[in-house]
Parts: sequence; structure tokens; C-alpha cells
Amino acid sequence: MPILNKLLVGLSLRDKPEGIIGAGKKNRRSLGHRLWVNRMGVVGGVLMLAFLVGALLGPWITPHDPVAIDLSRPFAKPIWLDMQEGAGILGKDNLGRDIFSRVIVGSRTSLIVAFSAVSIGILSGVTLGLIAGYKRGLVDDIIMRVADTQTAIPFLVLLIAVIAFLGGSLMNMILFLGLGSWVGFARLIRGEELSIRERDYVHAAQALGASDLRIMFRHILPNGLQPVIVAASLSFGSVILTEAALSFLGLGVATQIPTWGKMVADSRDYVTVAWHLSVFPAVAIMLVVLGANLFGDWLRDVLDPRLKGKRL
Amino acid sequence: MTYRALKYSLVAVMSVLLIAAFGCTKEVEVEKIVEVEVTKEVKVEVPVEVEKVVEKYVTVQKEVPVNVEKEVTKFVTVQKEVEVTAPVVYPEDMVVAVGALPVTLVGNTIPSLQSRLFSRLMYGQLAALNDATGQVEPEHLESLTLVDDTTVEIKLKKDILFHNGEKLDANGLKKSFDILSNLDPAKFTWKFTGFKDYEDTGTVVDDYTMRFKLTAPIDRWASAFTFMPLAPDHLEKVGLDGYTDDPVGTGPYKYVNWERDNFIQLTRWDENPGPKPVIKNVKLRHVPEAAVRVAGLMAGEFQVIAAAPPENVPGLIKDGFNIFVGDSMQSMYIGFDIYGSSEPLSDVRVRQALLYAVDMDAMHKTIAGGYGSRLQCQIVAPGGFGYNEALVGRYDYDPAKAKELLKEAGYENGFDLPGSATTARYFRDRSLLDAVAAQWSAIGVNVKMSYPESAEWLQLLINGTLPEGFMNIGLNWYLSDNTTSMWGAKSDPDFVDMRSAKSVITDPVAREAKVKEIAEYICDSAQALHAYTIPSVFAYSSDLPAISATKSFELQIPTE
Repeated sequence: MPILNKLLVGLSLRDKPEGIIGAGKKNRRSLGHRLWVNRMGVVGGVLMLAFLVGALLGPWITPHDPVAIDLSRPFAKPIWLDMQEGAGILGKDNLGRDIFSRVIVGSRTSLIVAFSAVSIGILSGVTLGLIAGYKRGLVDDIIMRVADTQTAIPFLVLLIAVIAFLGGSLMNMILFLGLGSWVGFARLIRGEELSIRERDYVHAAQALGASDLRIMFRHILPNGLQPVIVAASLSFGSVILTEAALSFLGLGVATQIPTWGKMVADSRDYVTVAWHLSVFPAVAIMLVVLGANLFGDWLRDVLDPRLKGKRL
Repeated sequence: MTYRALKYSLVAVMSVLLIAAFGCTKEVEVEKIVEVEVTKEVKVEVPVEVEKVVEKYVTVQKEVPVNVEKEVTKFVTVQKEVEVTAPVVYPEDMVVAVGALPVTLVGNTIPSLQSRLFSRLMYGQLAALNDATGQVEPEHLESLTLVDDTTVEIKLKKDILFHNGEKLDANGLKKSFDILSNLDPAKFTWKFTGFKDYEDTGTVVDDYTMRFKLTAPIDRWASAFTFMPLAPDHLEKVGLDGYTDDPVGTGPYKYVNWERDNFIQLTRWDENPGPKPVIKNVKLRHVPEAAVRVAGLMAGEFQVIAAAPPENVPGLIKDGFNIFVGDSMQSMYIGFDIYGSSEPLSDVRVRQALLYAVDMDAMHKTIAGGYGSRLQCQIVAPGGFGYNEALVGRYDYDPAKAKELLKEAGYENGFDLPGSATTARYFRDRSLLDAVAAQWSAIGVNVKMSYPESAEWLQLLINGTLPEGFMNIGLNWYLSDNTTSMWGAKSDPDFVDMRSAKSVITDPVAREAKVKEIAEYICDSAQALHAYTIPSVFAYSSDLPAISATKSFELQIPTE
């Protein structure tokens, strides 16, 4: 069943098609019940969506300029804690900058890096994995041995060394984070392909003279993409954490625009007198990663045929 | 399902606890409490009366009564309050946490704030700058005399020894000068290169006397003699690079061990003929983050921390720690590269706009906690030699005027400005530069800042390869002749001429007038943004003696 159908059936927004167990039964459950049944996915999706909207609309929805300083209100605590006028929802930092605005704007860099890096990882990993799984033999060996070698090297250490050498620009970070994640996707799609390529419709396509490229991308890929999508959503969270770690270490994107990791790093000197400087960016990181993981878990449950019927 | 719910519930609970824990952080009250402990020892005088017991035994055939004298002790308690000044016992070891360590331990090389922090513990000087008078006064010298306009005579004290037993005399000093003068000049301080004003490395008159010939009369003739003597035989044997691994000086502490970017270990030199410090072992630990230094002090891991954050000072005092806050003659200076590749900076109106756009009074109060002295468009703070009162308020915060000037100069829409900022090298350097960049952004100047790590920055500075545009540095007045040292590959010719003219003026009144004139020129042409003097803020344990620092950041430990 195509993935979109599976998702819609999973959300109880469409009836199960003919031939599937439980087909034909009308889904008469209320929206609330459906949301409750899929609550993990809903929570994860809402969190992701909230940050995505914040990142897209950031400059237009921030209450204050994220880089504007206000030296009359350094370290102001959140207004709901201190009731100090002008303190802001999440308070102010050491230079009087609004933390809420900076968290929203900070999400841009993190999400851009995460989406781009995961996309590069999927593109490169899926392509190489498809080729490896279809061609087998020497090509498969070479690709998989390169993957093994990369897996053996501690990725974060390698990334720190590379970025320290080449500089922490946005492009460098996206490129290297993306290239670092291809291995997992390659292995997944290759694993799926090893079983799919033995199916009748693949043999039929081969018999009909379809080219290798067509078979790989038209027949094998759509049917093997499910675990890749789940892995992508889970890897999204880990890329955000890695980007935050690099920013914390001072190897992140060199810009005046705040990033979450940089906000946490800059607040280290004030942690004993102004806890809110480091906590709120850290909570933002946590919520995005949590959202990505919840959504990924839900996606895995929905797309896994062995769990059919249990949740729905 | 249950496991998953449990897992996510655990995450949520931990998050709530974390937030609650931080939310319950105690407020630091701004209250200064100084507790003075007076130890009173009560002595109990116990006069003792003793009656002896004597037993006599007489052996007789018949019982005879025996007189027994008993020994009776009577205790009479007399309570008397006696105020006793207990001898102060200081700890043997003292760990000083600093934000950055020097890159070399050899005296006279790279006059960074970090090297000055420790160098006077290990090295004595021929002569030293007196903070109070601003004059160079003999230390290892008996006398330092300007015999005539171009001749200087020094007489060494006869009892100066190096840690390795070598004796400081005129022949040894001449030998070390000759060795150093033939080495790579980039390794030396501005102090030692002060000998460039002399014809050569001097002439030995007798065992303890030398004479030097100036190339021309100059006002700063004495500054060359703030030289830290290096053991000549040891220097000759190991060379300057070997001296780095095994430094030898004449100071109260001698070298034990050094792990780069980790710590420097010194121990008291007990054979020192001079006064001995009360602390035996001193270790300088590299701890870049201020919060970690504070935490370490409170945990007892460090006994002294340098550059204590102003926000933490009230809390530290309340917790029983002592604080030393001293001003310095080191000014935080942000220089503009006028002749560099950033074309807007070549226009004085643009530079003036950059000065008007910055609210330095608020930054001094907020970022530096009001410590140090606010600079008024000149490198010298109020009270310093050459301080020009006419420059006060010259560029008071006026962002509207800044925008107007930019518009006049043709940069109404702003421009990109590259620059660099030091990190953890000077007191609150990064915060200051971030704040300045933010206020420049507000008038449309898009700052592209780089933050090289401390040692990397120093190397870029020495090589002259810092990013063009602007940079910050903590500039010592004394080293810069009490005039701003313009940064950039090319110097302002007018400034160079004025400075040269000043250096040949011997009359102090006339010289001071010239310094003021130079300050006015630099201010009018907006060649730099002068922030505030970098304060010395040390926090230390209450069981230590009174730690302090000179105006040149030299750590001072009381002597016995």
C-alpha cells in the first residue's frame, strides 16, 4: 500500500482498501478518539509544526529584535516569575536581549541545518544504497566497505576536526552533517532492496526490458522507502543535537544571528545568577528533538504492517 | 506501549524537575557583609597548692600510732579573659584560576596581560614602574641615572642571584643583552625593543656598572630598564627556546612545571635574599569559563580566581570570600583599520558615527559592573599622565546623530564591517564586543565578527594578519607612551610625527601638554573606540593573606 495511504489509514482518515484485513468497515470513530489513539504522533507533529512555523515566520512574529540590546534590563527574569515590566516571556539575557525572540530566530538555523542535512543524507544514502543493493558484487562491496569505514570513525570528533579546519559556515555544516548521515540510509534501503528485488514484479519488469535505473527508482524505491522515512525523522533530532553541540563548542555558524547551541554556550558564565539564559534554549532543543522522535516513533508504528490493527 | 509511555513520562518529569530546580535558584541579594573574626582565647590560671603526704613507717613490736601527713591538692579557678593574637597560618598551596595562560614563560617576551599576571612572581626587574608616581624606579639597580641627554648609567645591586645560583653582574647582563639582540625580534617585548633607542647593548664600566648611549634624547629612556634579567650562562647554554622549557629568574618564586594551556606550577625560592612570600606553592590553572572559576572557588578547588564576574561579587562576599578590585593602566580599546580594505572606515564621518552609536556608559555599568574607569575618548583614564579633560563627553551616545553622519558620508543604508573579537582574553571582552556590534547593527552597520581563540588571536596579532576592519585589545598606557597606538598595517603619519615630537620633550609639563594634544587629535579623527580600563577583580578564600594586583595586573602575594 502506498505510504500516503498507509498514513491516512493510520490516522483513520481513510478506510482500509480491499484485500486488507478490516477492509470495508467504515471508520465511525470521532476525531477526538482518533487523536487520542494517535496521541504520540499528534504531540510530535504539533511540536514539529510549531517550531517549523516559528522558524518560517520568525522575523515577523518575534516581539522584539533578537539582536537589539537593552542595557537597562540585563538578566531580567521571565515576566511570569518576576512581574517586571518589559521583561519578556522568557526574560532577557546579559545584554538585555529578548530570549523568546532569540529562541524563535535560533530555530531557523537549527531547522535549516537539520532539514538540509537530512535531505542530503537521504539523497546520497538512498542512491548509494540502491546501487549497492541492485548491482551487488564489487560495487556493493566497495560502497559498503566505505560505509563501514565511516562508521568506525567517531563521527563527532571527525566533524569537529573538519569544521575547525574549514570554518563553521552554514554550507560546511550542512554538507558535512549530511554526508555523515548517509550510511544509515544506505544500509536501510539496501536491506529492503535485497528482499524486494526478488519479487515477481521486479522480475517482470526486468523481463519486459526495463532499465536498471527505472527498476531501482520506479519499482524498488517506492516499496522500500518506509524505513528510510522513519529513520529520517529520527535522524532529524540527532542532527539538531549535533548542530547545537558544534555551536556550543564555538564551531557553529559564525553569525550574529543566535543559534540555540550558541545561546547555551554564551550563557555558561552566568549560569549561577541567571538560570533562564541557558534553560530556555536547552528546552527548545529538547522539545524539537522530542517532537521529532515522537513523530518518528508514531510513523514507524503506522507504517509497520506487523502492528496493523493494534493501534487503529 | 506501556514502556513507551513510561519512557516519555520520565522525560517529561525530568524536564519539569530540571526547570523547577533552576526556578528555585536562590536570588543573590545585593548586600555587602564583611565579617571580621576576632579570636579570643580564654586562659585558665590554676594556682596549685600542694600538701605533701608523707607516710612514715616505724616497725615496732607493738602498735604505735603513726602520724600521716596527707597530700591535698586544692584547685582554685581564676577565670581571666586574655585576648590572644593567634599566629596566622596560611595554607602552603594556592591555586589561582585564570582565564588564559601566557604562551611563553620567558621574561620580556610578549607583554600580554596573561604573562604579567605571573611574570613578577618569577622574575625581578632592573627597574619597575611605580603605580602611584608613574615613574620608573630601581629594583635590582642601586641607581638609574641620566648622566647627560644621551648617556644613561646603571649600577646593579651586589646581592642579586638567579634561581640557579648565577649572580647578576654587569658582564652577565651585557652577555644576555648581546644574546637577545641577535635573536628573532618578533619574540621580544616592546620593553626590550626599547633598546632600539640606544646605540648598542651598553658598555661595562666595572663589575656592577654599565653605561648606555641613546641615539637621541628621548623621554622614555628609562622604560628600557624595566627589563627582567635572564640568567646569562643558562641562556647561552640553552638558547631562548630552551629557556622556555627551563626558565630561570630572580623573583620570589621559581619554576617547577608547566603544562601548556593547563597550569603553571611555581614554588617559593627559599634562598631568595629578599622578602619571602607567605604562600609556598602557587599554581596558575587555566579555566576559561568564569562560571567554572566561581564554582571552583566555592567548592574549594581554587583559592583565588581572576576576573571574577561582577554579578557574582555580592554572592561571594556573602559566602565569606574576599574580593580585591583594582583599577589598571590597561585600557580596552577597539581600533579601526583606517587604511585597510574597509573603505567606509577611511571616512572620518563614518568612524565618528560608530562612536556616537555606542552607549559606552551603559556598557561600562552593565558589562563591567562599573569596575575600572570609563575612558573619555582617550586611552588614559582620569588622573593618568596626559589625561585631557576637554575630551569628556565628546561622543556621547546619540544614535540619531550617528545615522545622520552615515547619511552624509553616503552610507544611509549601512555597510558590512568585518572585525575580530578576543574571547576570554580580557575582562568581559566578548560581551563588550557583542554589545558594540549590536548597537552598530542598530544604525545599519552589519558587523561580521570572528572570534579567534586566545592563543590563535595573539599569533594573528603578532603576524599582523588579524581580519581587517576593527579589533579590540587591552592596551597598556605605559607601553603605548600614554597615547593611543593606532592599529593597522599603516600608521597615521600625523600621529607618528606628533608622537616622535613628544618623545624628545624632556620637560614633564610640556610633554604632558603634547600627550593631551595627541589624545585630542586621535579623538577628533575618531581612530578608535575607547571603552574602559580593565579592572583587576580577584576573589579569594578568607584563609589567604590579602591578595592584590598592581595596575599592570602583576599578582602580589604578601611577604613574611
